[in-house]
Amino acid sequence: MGSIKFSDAELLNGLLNRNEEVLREYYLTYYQIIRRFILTNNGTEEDAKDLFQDVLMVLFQKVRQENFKLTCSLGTYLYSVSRFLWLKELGKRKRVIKKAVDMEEFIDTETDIAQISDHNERLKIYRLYFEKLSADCRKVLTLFMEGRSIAEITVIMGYTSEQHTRNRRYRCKLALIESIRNKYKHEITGYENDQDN
Amino acid sequence: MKTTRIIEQYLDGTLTDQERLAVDIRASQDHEFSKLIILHKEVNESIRDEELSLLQDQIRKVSEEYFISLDTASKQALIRVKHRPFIYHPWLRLAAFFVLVAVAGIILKMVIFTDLSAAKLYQKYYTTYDADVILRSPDYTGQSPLDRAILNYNSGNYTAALRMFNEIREERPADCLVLFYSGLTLMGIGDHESAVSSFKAIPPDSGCPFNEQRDWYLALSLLKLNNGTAAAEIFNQIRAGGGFYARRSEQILKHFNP
Repeated sequence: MGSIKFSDAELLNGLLNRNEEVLREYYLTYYQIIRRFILTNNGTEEDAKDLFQDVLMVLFQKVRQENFKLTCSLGTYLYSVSRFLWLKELGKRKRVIKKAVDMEEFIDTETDIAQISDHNERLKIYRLYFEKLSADCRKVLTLFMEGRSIAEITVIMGYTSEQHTRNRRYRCKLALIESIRNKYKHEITGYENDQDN
Repeated sequence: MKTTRIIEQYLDGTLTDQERLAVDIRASQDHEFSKLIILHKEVNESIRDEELSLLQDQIRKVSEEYFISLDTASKQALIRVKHRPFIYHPWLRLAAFFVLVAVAGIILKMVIFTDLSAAKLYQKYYTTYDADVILRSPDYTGQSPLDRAILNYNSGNYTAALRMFNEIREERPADCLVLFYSGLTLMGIGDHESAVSSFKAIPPDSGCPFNEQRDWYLALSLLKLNNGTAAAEIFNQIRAGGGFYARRSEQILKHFNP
């Protein structure tokens, strides 16, 4: 199973550069294989759609790692990552299957695949909450994360003082953290009264 | 906001060494505080890593387009099935199937039962002799000139092998093993006339353990030289002998009319 149009290296580079034509090729070449695996192993069409997106995101993170090296065909790698993540998902749903039904060859995936997938999931949620902030807050936080100096940000934002810029940053960050924490209270507790400090 | 400020400064690296140490100690003792630092760190990462969220959006978009195109394609397929022309009706399909089977049968018959040229038969049945048996035998030391010559033959180094076999032949002109392998090497080089001579030089009463193999390769060499009658005679003998090459000889004789 491989793309006729692109080599594996081109597909990996294309993913790294977010090339839409290449992204389409991933769907055309690999989606049906992954879908078949999910459907024959207690999954639904929706599960297959979600999982394939997750797998592409995991691959993106892996390709960005300096030490990433593909030791098998891209198709086998994608199938193996999908298989691993899907069996893990089934475990979460308490629907452990005795033996997965496989249609393709697979390899043992790296141990960090699950962590990358979970990490991606969290970043996705945090980003959603970030997008809900006011435009002003988003801009201040983004400028800080870009590594701009307080003086620069003060000028760009048109604030009256650097202290105001600092306070604005902390207030915006606090608002973001609180909104996330309210949603995931069961995971992150305590420090509810930070605003009072 | 104090905690937020401390954590942000901690992550920025703008705390003094003393303040930093205080945060580290607190994080090691207070699990919730430690988790909050991680949350801040990951949230910062999500803000910084715009590439990831852009990719997510693109994947979502491409995914939607892909599934829309799939839906459209399956709907069109459904429409085609509903309006399929007469030719696609089941009984015509069945008739087409029988025609296909008949045609396949004719082709198969032509392939199996039609006479093939000697050259084609040779091409089909000639494979190099695998000397693994010799190389694995307890007598094989890998040291003697004959061992090295056989090794060269087995590796496809025919020129070197032939040179070595010729040297050995000078000393042991009637050695069936040397003659047999010389013949095989000559076949490998493409000198079938010399190969035939070499195989024929093996004395009939030599008690050579490679008699059937010798006959098989001799017959193949004759086939290659278009000497069909002589080849057929040997193939017949091999078939009658019922040995390892009997079945292959039978198959050749089926296709071959000298």
